[in-house]
Amino acid sequence: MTADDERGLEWLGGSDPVLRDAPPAPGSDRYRAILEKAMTQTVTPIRTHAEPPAPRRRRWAGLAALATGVAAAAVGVAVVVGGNTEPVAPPTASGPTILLAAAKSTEKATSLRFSEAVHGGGAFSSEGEVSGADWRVVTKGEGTSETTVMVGDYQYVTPENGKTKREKVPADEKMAPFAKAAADVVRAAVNDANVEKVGTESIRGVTTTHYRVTLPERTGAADPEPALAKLPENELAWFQLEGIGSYSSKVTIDVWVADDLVRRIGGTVEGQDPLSTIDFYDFNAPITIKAP
Amino acid sequence: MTEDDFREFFAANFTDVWGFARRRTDSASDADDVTAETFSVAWRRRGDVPSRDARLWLFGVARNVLANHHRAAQRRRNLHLRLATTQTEPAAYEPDGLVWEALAELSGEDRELLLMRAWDDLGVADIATVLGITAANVSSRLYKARARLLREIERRDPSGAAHVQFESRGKGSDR
Repeated sequence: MTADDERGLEWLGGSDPVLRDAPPAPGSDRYRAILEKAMTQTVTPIRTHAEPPAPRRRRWAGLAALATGVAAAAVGVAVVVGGNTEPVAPPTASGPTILLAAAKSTEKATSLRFSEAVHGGGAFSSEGEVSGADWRVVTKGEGTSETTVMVGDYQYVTPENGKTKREKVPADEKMAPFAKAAADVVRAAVNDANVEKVGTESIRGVTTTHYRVTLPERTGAADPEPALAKLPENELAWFQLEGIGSYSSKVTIDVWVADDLVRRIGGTVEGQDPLSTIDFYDFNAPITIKAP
Repeated sequence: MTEDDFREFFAANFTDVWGFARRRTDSASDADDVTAETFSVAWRRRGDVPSRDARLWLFGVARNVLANHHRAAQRRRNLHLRLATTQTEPAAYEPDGLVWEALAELSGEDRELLLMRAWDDLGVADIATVLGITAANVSSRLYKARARLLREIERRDPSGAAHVQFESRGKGSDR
């Protein structure tokens, strides 16, 4: 690397949080506590933040999160699987076949609506509608709401009682079309995992069959990443599955299917709150997404 | 690895692992948690710790731990809100704000590459080891990421006024 290359990095170097926040000194109470915890902890509790990040920190919180979660999937980026790889389902199981068929039909939907309830420790719910690659999502939580509309290359964000902000989104930062993302997630999950039938459940008046796919537990970076992790981030993000390949805990993806369509996708990471649960409905309804 | 060996291993790598964690979390106490968790994995898998590049192996473990940690921390926040949050209006000018703004425009992979290079002081070969990709791949991606960062900074600060300030704060000056 040349001196000129290093010049750009120096700007970042000055922002290193460790310059302002030194590690605990060897032998200090904190240092000893960390060592003690490391050598005695058998089950690994994951800390949750009781407080939301302060506004000034919010961007950085998101940024740090993205840097971690996304880079965890960096290996997968070089070998993006996408939706073109034919999943290999165990030949004897019927669950995979049904899920794959549902994925295929769901992908063909030209429009649909979806709903994400408040879940686990989540404080937000959202309602969305999708037409092709365009979408509209209303998010509610913490006493406020926000509407995000994506039409073509432009995103419009309207806070509650606020002014709409329009922004052009670069092609590589756009969310993938929702229906394709859902189909790819189901296909990849089936490709990775054992599928079991949980039972039948009613969702919005439709009797669905609930399947659970269990991804093998990964004990370290050496274990192969699931195919799910190789999907593009802009597909995984619809279902809060970014960085899914980096969990060492057991991951399950739940899929509810009826009439050859995916009706709900949810998931869990062992020992943590459930992941998003998203209901799908109004397939191929006349939905037009317009800029506000 | 005996218990004494492990304590030695911990002492030799603690500062680096804590720094790696702190750069990817919101607070020192979160970094403490991630560090403890990382060494906890190392303790459980002490038979697997490679004799060479043990520090890089620990960084790899830390990345997994951080991903879990991040999942829990972000759970309550909705995806769409998070997406919107990363695209808020530029903050009032200040050096850090401008760098964050520029960084936020990069892809997650690019950001992590730059930060591993700039903050963790890892070389191309080390980054390749942590990420499990080839050095050539790291090198070309790093080059493009840096170019993108420079463009984003320049776009926000066409006068270049920030450059002087950043350079005066960089490594080799006040460190």
